[in-house]
Amino acid sequence: MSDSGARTGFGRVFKSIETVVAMAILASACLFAGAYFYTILRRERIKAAAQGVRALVLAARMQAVRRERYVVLAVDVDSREVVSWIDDPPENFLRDPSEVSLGSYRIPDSVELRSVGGDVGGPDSVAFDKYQWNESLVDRIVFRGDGSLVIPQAVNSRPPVRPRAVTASVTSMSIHCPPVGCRGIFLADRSGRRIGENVFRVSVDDFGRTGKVSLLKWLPPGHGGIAGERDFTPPPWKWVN
Amino acid sequence: MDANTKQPRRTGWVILVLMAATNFLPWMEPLIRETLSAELVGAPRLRLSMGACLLGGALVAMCWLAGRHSSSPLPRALSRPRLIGFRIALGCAAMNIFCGAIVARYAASMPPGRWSLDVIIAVVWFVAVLPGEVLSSYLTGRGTVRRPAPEPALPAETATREMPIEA
Repeated sequence: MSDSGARTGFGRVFKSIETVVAMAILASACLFAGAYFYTILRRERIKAAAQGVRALVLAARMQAVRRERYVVLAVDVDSREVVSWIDDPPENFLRDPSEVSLGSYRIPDSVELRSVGGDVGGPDSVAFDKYQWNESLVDRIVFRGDGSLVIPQAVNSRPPVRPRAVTASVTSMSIHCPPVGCRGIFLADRSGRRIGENVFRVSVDDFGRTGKVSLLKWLPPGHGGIAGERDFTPPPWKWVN
Repeated sequence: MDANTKQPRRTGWVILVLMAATNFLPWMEPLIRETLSAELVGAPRLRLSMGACLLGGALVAMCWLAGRHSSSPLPRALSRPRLIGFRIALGCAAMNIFCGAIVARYAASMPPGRWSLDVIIAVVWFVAVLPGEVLSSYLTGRGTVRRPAPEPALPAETATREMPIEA
């Protein structure tokens, strides 16, 4: 009897049309909010990471100019840590025990270091390699005291080239990164367990020798890129998913 | 006879859900548009958009409930509350979709400023769409309750008794 009474009470509450309608409105709100939130969150996470790395590169350059000293910004691909420091003479581009950190940034777990078509944490994910003919000096950006870039010597760290044409999607500030690679710190998002196709590139001196820092996003195939090119473009960016 | 008379009445919740769901278009499309730029979406902006959507949904639900439980007489112009509510709801949903499409299409090319496209659409939403949704859900709620006309021979309390039917 009590079970029947409880069921009646339960039914009275949950079969009430008012509850059903309220639930339907709540469910639709949650569904739409969730879908929009997921998209915004995913995009903002990788954008924030790319902005974080870019800000540290800009700060490193500014410190180099302010102090008129060499400043090195190194990316540890394994620990995902980006650290900058003033390189005391003799400049060896390595962090000696006496050299204190100027700034650091940890790349979040939701973002991977990966170049277009490359492996996660692969050699091209941070393409600022080989200085002073030393193959072991990799994954670091070095600024001189005048703010200019010490040019990395590895093949994968060459500057990009201009795209063959300027289109609505590939604007004048875009670059084409040849298959051998081009210099940059490449950050890719993650879509569930697999790596996403949204790749950002933070780099210095795309065109010219002024030490200008750039933040560009890869234009995936089918989004208006030039055939046969790996184009990276400034905003407004095209997103995959 | 039952099937024919009850079928259209079960669309009430669809009307409410339609309004609550389309509210996200004019409020969330500007944020999606902002992800295309280098700047990050600000937390106040996100709170405002989400708050407006939740406010819209809550008001729709509350006004529908208020309409169901209300016993005050409706003006003659609103003698068919359910139909009028349905029409207003369709208008509000169409307005939401239109605003969302306009933002998605043109917001990036508009210069930022005090009266940017996002601000204009937010004002339009608060001034026109939200009151429309409130009215529509109230009328839809009123339309879900059948009130028999009072018979002179019956006592007053029997005459005003409400007979709830399906939404």
